[in-house]
Amino acid sequence: MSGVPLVVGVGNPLRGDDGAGPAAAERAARDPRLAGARFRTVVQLTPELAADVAGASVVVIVDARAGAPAGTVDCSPVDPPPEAVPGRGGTRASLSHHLDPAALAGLAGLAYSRIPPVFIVGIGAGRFDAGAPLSPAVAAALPEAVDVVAALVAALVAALVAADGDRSDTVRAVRGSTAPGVS
Amino acid sequence: MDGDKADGQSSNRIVIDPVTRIEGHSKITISLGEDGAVAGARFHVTQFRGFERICIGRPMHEMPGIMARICGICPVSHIIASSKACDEIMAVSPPPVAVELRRVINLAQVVQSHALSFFHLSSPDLLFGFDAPPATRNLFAAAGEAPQLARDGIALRRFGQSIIETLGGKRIHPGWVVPGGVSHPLAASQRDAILAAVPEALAAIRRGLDWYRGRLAGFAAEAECFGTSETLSMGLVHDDGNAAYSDGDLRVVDASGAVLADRIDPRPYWEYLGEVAHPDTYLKSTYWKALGYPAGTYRVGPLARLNVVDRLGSAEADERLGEYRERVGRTPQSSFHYHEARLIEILHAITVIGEILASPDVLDRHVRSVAEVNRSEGVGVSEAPRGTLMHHYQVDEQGLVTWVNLVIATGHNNEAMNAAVAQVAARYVDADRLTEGMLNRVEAAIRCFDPCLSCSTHALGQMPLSVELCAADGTVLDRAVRP
Repeated sequence: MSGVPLVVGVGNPLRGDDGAGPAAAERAARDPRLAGARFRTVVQLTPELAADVAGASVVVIVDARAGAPAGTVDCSPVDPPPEAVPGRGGTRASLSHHLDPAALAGLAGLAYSRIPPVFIVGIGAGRFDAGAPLSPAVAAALPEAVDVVAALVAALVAALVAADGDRSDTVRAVRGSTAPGVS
Repeated sequence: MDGDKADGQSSNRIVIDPVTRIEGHSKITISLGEDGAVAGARFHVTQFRGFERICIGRPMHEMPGIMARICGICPVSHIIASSKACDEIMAVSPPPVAVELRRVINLAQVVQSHALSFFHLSSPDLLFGFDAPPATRNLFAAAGEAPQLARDGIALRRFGQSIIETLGGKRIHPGWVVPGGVSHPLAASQRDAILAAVPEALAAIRRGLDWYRGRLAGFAAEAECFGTSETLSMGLVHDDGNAAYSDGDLRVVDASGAVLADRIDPRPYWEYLGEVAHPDTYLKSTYWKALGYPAGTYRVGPLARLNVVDRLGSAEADERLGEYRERVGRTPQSSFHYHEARLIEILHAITVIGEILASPDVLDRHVRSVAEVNRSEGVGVSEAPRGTLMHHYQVDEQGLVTWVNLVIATGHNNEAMNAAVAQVAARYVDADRLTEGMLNRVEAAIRCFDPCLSCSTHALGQMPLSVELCAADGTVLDRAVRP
């Protein structure tokens, strides 16, 4: 296992619940369970993050999720496009100066020949009004989101140490270690 | 006006609408005459933002912070021009170290913005060619084909952004540059961290320059017709003729290199520059008054800056500049050479950042001159990555803003961009057939200028680009839609 865990909070704090990702990442940075991890807060995922992703042991991206009930927390693995996995060849069209998590992971593979396990933790968002603070439901969900991030990192690191990269097992482990709401 | 020739004679037309993917604020119209030949082209910016209006009534000291929100790519340029306008209103000169620190953050933005333009947006065209299908002409494919090039682009973006974040507190919409100087001095640890990253950044841009030189021979045709119409060039220079980015005076040269104006104070810009408003775009066109419109059309930005300066002012970049001039001429007119000019400027910017930060005075703690309103008017001028940027404010006795005028690089280049599109269209557009290669080249001609719209004019395979070929009676002869 190389590198340290990387936690990326994505979103615009000036747009209501879109700031859930950065708020969760900032809270996670103060959590002793995540000591040793690196933390980044960004408005959007950009190609420059590919270097950080490629250099991390595991990556957890925390982002607001539109359409999900406000304050719910879920996590899921990010599968980079298979064409981007080093050695498989091929290309994928969709890429800009801002990326989705799968494209970011793919770019890390193409440019740096390394894709660590990448997960996304979604926080259901209720409002995106300009200048609004986090809604009460989302603010109340931040501790749970940090719990999920901490459990994910612990499980992923343990899996890597055990040379067991099966991420479905990791998801089950995280589900079992946290309260309902993690799907 | 859309679809008609200036003399009112009806014509066929091709409309590329929208050109943008994210902002969705521009389109290109190519007008064809009755003979099917390209009769003209227009680049339209269809969004109205009204920043000059929303600032009215705001306290002068807020202006840099407000102006930073104009753009997520080059906020530093607006902060610097805005703060310089406020310096004028306060009638103060920033402390010398603040002037140098402003130069550092401005040059850092030049690095990150130019890197985005060349490595992320334009390199796929140069790597795969303009006739390649969109699915293989994007950064993702480029990273698979040339991973070192992708890594170098990422490294240069990170270098510039990390400096902006270190000094300004965040990568996008930073603070720190304020009226009178900068808000706080540089810490030794910050200086050391930036200096430690300089060697890697230099290595990355050297590889990028060498890579570009290796590709150039394959694009001789494009280099000949990507906006080669003759224009003036304008940019800031220091007293010694070296390139200036945060300060300096204006120099204007013509296509032959003859100097039309040298080291003139840029602040009374209205004495030299005229503006033309067009009914089909929110982007005004500026021109050099002495020659009138449109003869006074000029360009700004990397190509123009290299055309106006005697030298850049750093040894290695000047060596590259000399080799470039030997190859393309002293004042090249092809906008295709914006690409190489951009790379040479990156090399210069990194070098100067290292030189400034190596100075023992850079940690001086007196970084801000404090004053209230002492004048009712101020103009701030600097070089943004895309070209000369002018902020002009008027305030009342309490320092509340009463009037704002912004003259931005994309406006300076507007007429030259129209000419470039027309020239490319005339070379590649067939009135009976719309091809991917034609669309790509028209967009790429705009992209050479790296306008604020360039990110969205880049074809990423999913750009909702539609082109219609219409007869004089409105009948659609051909339609191309790229999902």
